[in-house]
Amino acid sequence: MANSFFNSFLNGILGSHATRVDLDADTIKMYLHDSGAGGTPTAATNDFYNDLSAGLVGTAYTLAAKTIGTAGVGVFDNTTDPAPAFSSVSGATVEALVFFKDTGTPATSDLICFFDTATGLPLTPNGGDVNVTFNASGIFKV
Amino acid sequence: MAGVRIQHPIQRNVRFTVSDPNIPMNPPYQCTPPEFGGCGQVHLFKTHHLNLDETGSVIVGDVLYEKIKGYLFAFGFVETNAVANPPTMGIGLGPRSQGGQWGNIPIIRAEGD
Repeated sequence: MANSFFNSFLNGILGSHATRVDLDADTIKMYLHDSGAGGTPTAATNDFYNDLSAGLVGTAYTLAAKTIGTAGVGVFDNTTDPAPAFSSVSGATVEALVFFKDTGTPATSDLICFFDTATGLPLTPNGGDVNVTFNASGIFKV
Repeated sequence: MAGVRIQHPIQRNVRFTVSDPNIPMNPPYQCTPPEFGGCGQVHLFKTHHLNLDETGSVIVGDVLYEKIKGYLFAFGFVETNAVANPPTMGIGLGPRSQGGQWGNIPIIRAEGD
C-alpha cells in the first residue's frame, strides 16, 4: 500500500456530502494501527473510525497544536512533535499511523488519512514510549 | 514489567522477521521500503520485525512477547531479562520521494513541494 487519504475525506472536501471534517475546529487524533487485528487501512472502502478501530494499539493522541495554511498553502500541520505521542506501548506490532476526526462515536468519526510508509514503520513495540516526528513541511497537503 | 529482552544464539546486527501464520493480512501489507528502514517485502501474514543488536538482543513489549513467544522460542530466541524502562521508539514522517514514487498522493513527505 502507500500513504493515502481516505476517499471519503477527499470527497467530503469536494462536496459529495456535507463537509464533515473541520481540521481546525474538530478534535483530530492519530493512533497506532494493528492491521492484523483491524484490517489494512483501505482508502476506497474505509470511511469511519469504526471500520478500523479493532486495530487500535494503546491510546489515540489528540493533536493539540494544529495549524492550517501556516506551513504552506493547503497544508495541515501540528507545530509540535509529540514526545511522547504514545506512552508505554506494549500491544501488537503496528503497521500504520491513522488520522481521524474524533466525535466520540466511532461510527461518525471520519477517517482522514493513514501513513503505512514512514521511518519506524512497521513498529514492533518494546513497551516504551513512541514519539512521532512530523515533517517540517507539514503533515499533509490537499 | 514493560519489556522483555530476548536474544538469538547466532544472529547479530540483523533484522529478524517472525510471521504469525494465524493472522493473514488482508490485503497483504507492503512493508516500508528499505530506504526508510523497513524491509520492503510484501507480508501475507502478520510479521514482527526484530532489529537485533550486536549481541543478538532486542526488547519486545511484554504484551506482544506473550503473544509471539512460541514463535520466538521456535527460532531459538531465549528470554534474558525484564526491562522496566525500555528506550523510546520513534515514527518519522520523512522526506517525500520525488517523481511520483508514491503515486498521486499529496501527503507531504519532503522539504518543499
